[in-house]
Amino acid sequence: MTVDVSAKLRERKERIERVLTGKVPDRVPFIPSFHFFPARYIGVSYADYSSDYRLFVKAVFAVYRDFDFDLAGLALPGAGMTLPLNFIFIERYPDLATTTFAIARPFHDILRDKYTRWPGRELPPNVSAQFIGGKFMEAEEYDELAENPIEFISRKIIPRVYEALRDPTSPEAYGALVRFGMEVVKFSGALMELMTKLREELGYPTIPLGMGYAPLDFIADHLRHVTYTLTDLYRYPDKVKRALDALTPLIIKWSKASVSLPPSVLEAFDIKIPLVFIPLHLNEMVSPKFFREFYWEPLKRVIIELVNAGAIPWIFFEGNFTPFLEYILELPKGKIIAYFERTDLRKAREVLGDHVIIMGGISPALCIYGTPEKVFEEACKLLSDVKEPGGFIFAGSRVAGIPDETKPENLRALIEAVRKCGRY
Amino acid sequence: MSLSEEMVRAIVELDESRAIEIAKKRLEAGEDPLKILDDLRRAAEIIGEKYERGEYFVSDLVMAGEILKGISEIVRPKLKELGVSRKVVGKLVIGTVEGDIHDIGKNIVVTMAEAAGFEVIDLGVDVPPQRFVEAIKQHNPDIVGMSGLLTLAIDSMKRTVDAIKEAGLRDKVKIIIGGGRVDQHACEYVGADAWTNDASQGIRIMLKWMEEKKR
Ligand code: B12
Repeated sequence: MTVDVSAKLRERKERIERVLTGKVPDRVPFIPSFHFFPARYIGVSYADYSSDYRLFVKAVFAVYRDFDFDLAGLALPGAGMTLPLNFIFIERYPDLATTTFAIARPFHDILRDKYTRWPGRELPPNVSAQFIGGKFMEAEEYDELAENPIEFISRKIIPRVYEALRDPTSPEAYGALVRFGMEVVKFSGALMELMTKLREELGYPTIPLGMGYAPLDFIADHLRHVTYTLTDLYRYPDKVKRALDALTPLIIKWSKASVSLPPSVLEAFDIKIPLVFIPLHLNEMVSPKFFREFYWEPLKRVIIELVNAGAIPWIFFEGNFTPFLEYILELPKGKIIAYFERTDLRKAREVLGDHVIIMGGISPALCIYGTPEKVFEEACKLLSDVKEPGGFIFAGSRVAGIPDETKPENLRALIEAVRKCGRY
Repeated sequence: MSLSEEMVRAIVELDESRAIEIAKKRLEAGEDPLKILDDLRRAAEIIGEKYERGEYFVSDLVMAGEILKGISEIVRPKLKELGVSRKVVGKLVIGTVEGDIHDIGKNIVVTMAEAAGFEVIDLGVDVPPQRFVEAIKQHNPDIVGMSGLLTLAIDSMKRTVDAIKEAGLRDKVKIIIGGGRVDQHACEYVGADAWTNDASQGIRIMLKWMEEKKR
């Protein structure tokens, strides 16, 4: 590592650590996340980016090289499809529950899941990968799910979701599982290589990263579909409740396992505070009649367990969460990152004060269609309004990441804005 | 309270089994099915207002949509049997634009527009510009509604409006766009006539257009 690189590393690490531990850093840190922007940036098709790990590493590396951020956030060449598989391993093979992290097209080719659609497969080569979910369980099956979630997911859900595992005792299924395992090794290798290159060559600090899920979102995304889940709340509240009670401990176990690192492993990271990304989906949709009991309480249990385990839940509140902001005050102070999408950040700051670390950015439409001047201006305005009294992380845009179609000059303008208007 | 009022109230309170039970009772008693449909419109209006005021949430709209759909499914065969049809206030072609599969919001608009008396042609999701153009030629609607939740949908909307222009149909229809990522910025870029993040506001805009058209 050159002197310059290690100085960069130290500077970034200090900035991130300060913001995560409740101290005011020199300026607001910028932590971006990416889906397909890197592919566009180096001019490869989405199809290739989501299937050729070398290209993926090259593209993401190029972005972090050419733009100066503070930490490498999420960079995913697609959409997730393995949650049910992860969950069934949690009792007997906890290591598999968390290491089988698989977000790339080859996994879709192997498992033939019905959750996702991919560029160059079901979609044209330059359309971003899509999670489409679906209904894989009937309302009558809630009791069975509640009775024994692992059994139910293994025996009923998995064969329905993954074509290749449709008949679990078939040669095809055995083969698919072996290939899946082999591919996981390849993919994790690529992610590891990316992390190392970003650190050694560019000075981006490393940080442990885990995953969490809101129990009701798991039902909506992976079992019952969003629409039916919402109507189930009115039609079969008791059934849903029992299923949530059974699923929540499972999700807690899985999520905690993703960040419970042995000291020797934790030691190897530059920043030793694990972040747990929890993207929420139904958060803005569920009526207050049901919100606390069905959405918030199970989620809160997950969050609190993670905090107790020493991690910082990094919660992405999709949509407009403004009507529910007060609930966030129930979470332990200074221990979570609240990453907002359409919630008014100024209002969030007003209600939440310094209770949580606030994260967010400007309109995605502006990043895509706006001029750099306008982007700079909006970002500056936002920063000046919400950066005080510290505890703010800039995310670029208001979606879970930099929009794929963002103009590179606008991304540059965002970085400029953090430099100029993010100082304390 | 009359059965009509009771039904509206049950729908607004999202009491599905009660609302359906009353609807059935009314049909059995030989009541005019058109009156029942009219009550659906009233109920949808009240629910829409509650949503706009922040009293109701998306889950309430989805549930209300299910109830409205459930009742109109019971009423429709009866209408057919009697050979009557409802007065249509206008015709709406709607779809989620190309590249986008989010349809919860769009489905709510479909149900509310139907309740408000529109004839709705629902093109589904991931609808390419050309399908919108063909549907306009085939159905001759008053209004085209486009839904989109992804930022890339904004570009699809623009391409759709361009295709409609190119086909020489732009003057024949009003265009409204909706969905979570749509704003004034997007509306201008796309070249639509109106935008909204709120189904009931959307319905009001569309009804206003139909009023203006009548004059
Ligand atoms: C539910 C959901 C899903 C479900 C969709 C289920 C379904 N059948 O619709 C699933 C899980 C399948 C899904 C998939 C994906 N999603 Co999604 N999803 C959402 C979520 C959480 C809610 C959307 C929603 O239904 N809102 C509720 C409805 C009622 O609101 P609405 O659509 O705005 O509609 C209201 C009004 O706008 C209006 N309206 C809507 N349309 C119209 C049309 C007209 C004419 C009128 C008048 C009015 C009107 O009426 C409604 C009632 O008032 C949002 C986040 C959010 N909260 O917005 C992300 C979100 C939209 N998804 C997102 C993404 C990225 C995806 C995926 C690409 C994820 C992935 N990587 O796989 C895929 C997309 C696949 C694709 N090509 O579309 C992003 C979009 C980011 C961006 N700016 O581009 C969002 C914003 C989440 C995020 N990351 O921030 N998603």
